[in-house]
Amino acid sequence: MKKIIVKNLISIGIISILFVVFIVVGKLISVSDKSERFVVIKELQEKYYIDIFDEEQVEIFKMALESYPIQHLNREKFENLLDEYKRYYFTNPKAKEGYTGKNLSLDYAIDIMLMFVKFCFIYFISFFSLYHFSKAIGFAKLIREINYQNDLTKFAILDEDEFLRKAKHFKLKKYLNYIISAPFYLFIFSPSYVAAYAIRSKFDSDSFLFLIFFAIFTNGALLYSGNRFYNMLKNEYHKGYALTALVKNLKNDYSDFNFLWLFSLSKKFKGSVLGSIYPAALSNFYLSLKEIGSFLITSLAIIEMALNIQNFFCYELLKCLLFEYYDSAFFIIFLLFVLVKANDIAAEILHYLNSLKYES
Amino acid sequence: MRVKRIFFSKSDPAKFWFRIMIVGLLLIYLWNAAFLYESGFKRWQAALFNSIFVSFVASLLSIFLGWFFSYYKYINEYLDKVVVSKTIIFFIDAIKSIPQVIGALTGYAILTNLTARDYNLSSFVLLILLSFILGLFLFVEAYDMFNERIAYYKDKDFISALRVLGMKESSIINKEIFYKNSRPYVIQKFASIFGEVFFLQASVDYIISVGLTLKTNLVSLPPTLGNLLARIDSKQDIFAIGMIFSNLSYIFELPFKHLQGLSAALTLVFVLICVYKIANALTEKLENK
Repeated sequence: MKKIIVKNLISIGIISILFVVFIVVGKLISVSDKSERFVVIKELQEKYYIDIFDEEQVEIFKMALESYPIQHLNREKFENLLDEYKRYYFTNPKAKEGYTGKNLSLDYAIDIMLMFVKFCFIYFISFFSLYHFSKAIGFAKLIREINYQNDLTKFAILDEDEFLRKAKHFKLKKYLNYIISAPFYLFIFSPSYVAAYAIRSKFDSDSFLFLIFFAIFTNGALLYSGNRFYNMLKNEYHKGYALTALVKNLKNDYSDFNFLWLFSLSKKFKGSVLGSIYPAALSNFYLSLKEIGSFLITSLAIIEMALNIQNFFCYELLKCLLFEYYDSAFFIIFLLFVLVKANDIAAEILHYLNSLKYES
Repeated sequence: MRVKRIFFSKSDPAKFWFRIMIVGLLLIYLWNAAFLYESGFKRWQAALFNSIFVSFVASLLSIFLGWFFSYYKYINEYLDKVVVSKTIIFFIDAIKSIPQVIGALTGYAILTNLTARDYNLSSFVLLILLSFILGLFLFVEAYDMFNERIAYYKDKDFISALRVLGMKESSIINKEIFYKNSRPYVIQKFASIFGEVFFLQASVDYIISVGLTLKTNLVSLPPTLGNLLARIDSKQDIFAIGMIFSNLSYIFELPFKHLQGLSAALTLVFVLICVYKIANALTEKLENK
C-alpha cells in the first residue's frame, strides 16, 4: 500500500512542478487584467445607477464631485478614469460581455478552491451512486441470464417441445424488450446537454440534483460501467472454481430473487455461486473505477460547461479559457488532475485491500 | 426475406448492429431529404460526414500511437534503457490523469486561437488537427490494450521458441503478438475508441460553440453534429421535445416541425448506441473465445 501511495505522490509532485511552470507561463501570456482598475466606475453604475454613457448624468456627477469630492476621487481623476474606461470598453470584448475575469490571485484562488470543494461533493455523490447502480445492473443482467439458462435446462431435460417453445418465446420477448427499452436507451446515451434541454430550459446554481442526475443517467455512463461489472462477473462465472462449485451443486437458482434487493448497499449472496464470484469480480471492478471516475469527471465537466451553469468549477475554467486567463485555467486543470489522482489512489488501495482479503 | 437475411441475420451481433447502424442512418437521411429544408439538410450531411471522418481518423491515430508507445516502451525495457521506458510511463500516466474533455477543450482553444490569428487553415487541415487533438487524449486506451497483449504473450513457450530460433524481438512483438494474435482486440478497441471520440467530439464542439462564443465569431470550425446542435434553431428544436410532457400528441409533430435539431440529436445518439452495441458484441466474442 505504501508503494501505491509513494508512486502516485511522486507522480503528483512532478506534475505539480510542471503545472507551476505552466501557471507562471500562463500569467505571462495572459492578457493583463485592467478591469480591476475600474471598480469606482462599476460602483457608480451598480450602486448609484449612473449611466456613464449618458453625458447629462456624467456632467451632473462631475459638478457634484467639484463641490463634494469623494475620497481619492476628484473631478480631474474621474475624467481621466472615465476616458480610460471608455477606451477599454470599446476595444475589449470582455468588457462588453460584462465579464470581470481575473488573473490568478490569492482571493481568486480561494474562490476557485470553494468551487472545487462543491465540484468534489457532487462528484462523490455521483460516483457513489454510479458505483452502486453499476453493480445492480451487472447482477441483474447475470441473474436474468442464469435464470433463463436454468429454465431452458429444466425443459430440455423434461420436454423437448416445451424447450423449443420456451426458446422461441424468449426470442420474441427479447425483440419486444428492444422496442420497450428504445426510449430508455435513447435517454441513457443522449449527451447530457440534449437530455437536459429536452427536460428543462434553464439551469442555475441551484441545479445540484439535476447535475447529479444527468451525470449518472446520461452520456452512457450507467450502461458503460454496469456492463463492465457484468463482464467481470461473467468472466469469473466461467472460471474453473465457479464451475467446480456448480458441479458440487452449490445454489445457483435465483428464480425467487427479488430484484429490488439489488439496490441495497451491501450485497451478499451467502451459499450461492454468485457469492463466490462476487469478491473476485469486485476486486477487478475496483481497478476499473479509475476509468469510470475519470469518465464521470469528464461527464460533469461537459454538463457544467454545456449548460453554462454559473459559478461552477468547470464553467469557470471555460470562462478562463475564453478570456485568456491561462494562469487561472491551468490552476483549475491542476485541481482536476489532483482529483483524478486521488480517485486513482483510492481505486488502487481498494483493489489492494480487497485482494489481500480475497487471497487470505 | 433476402433483405432480412442480409441485414438482420443475428449470427454475428457485431455485424448485425453495424447493419442496423447503416440502415438507421439511411432512414434518417431519407427522412431529412424529404422533410428538412435544403440548407439544413446540406448542413446535416456535412456535419455527419465530418463527425464520422474525425472519429475515424482519431481512432486510427489512437491505435497507431498506442502501438507505437507500447512497442517503444517494451523494446526499451527489453534493452534495459530504464530512463526512456520510465519517461514513457510517466508521460502516459500524466495524460491519463487529465480528464479527456479538459485536454480536448484546451487543444481546441489553442487551435481556435491559432485560427483567429489569420493562419489560413482549410477545413480539411482543421479536421485533421481536431482528430489529432482527440487522438492524443484517447490513445492511452489502445496503449493499455497493446501492453496487456505483450504481457499475456511474452512468457509463452512459442515466444521463447521464436527467440531461440533467432527471431528479432521487434518481429516477435509486431508480427507474432500484434499482427497474428491481436487483430480482433485491435478491432474491438478501434470500435470502442470510435464511440468515445464521436461522443467527445460532439461535446467539445458543442461547448466551444456555446461557451467560447467570442472565438467562434472569429473563426468557423467545420460543421459537426456538436456545433449543429449548438445552433440556436437546433436548441429550440431540442427544447420542443419537452412539450410532449404537457401534450403527448405533439410527439407526431416533432419529426416535421423540429427536424434539424431532432435529426442531429438522433443521429448522434443512434450512432453512439450502435457503436456501443458493436464494441460490446466484439468484447463478448473475444471473451467467449
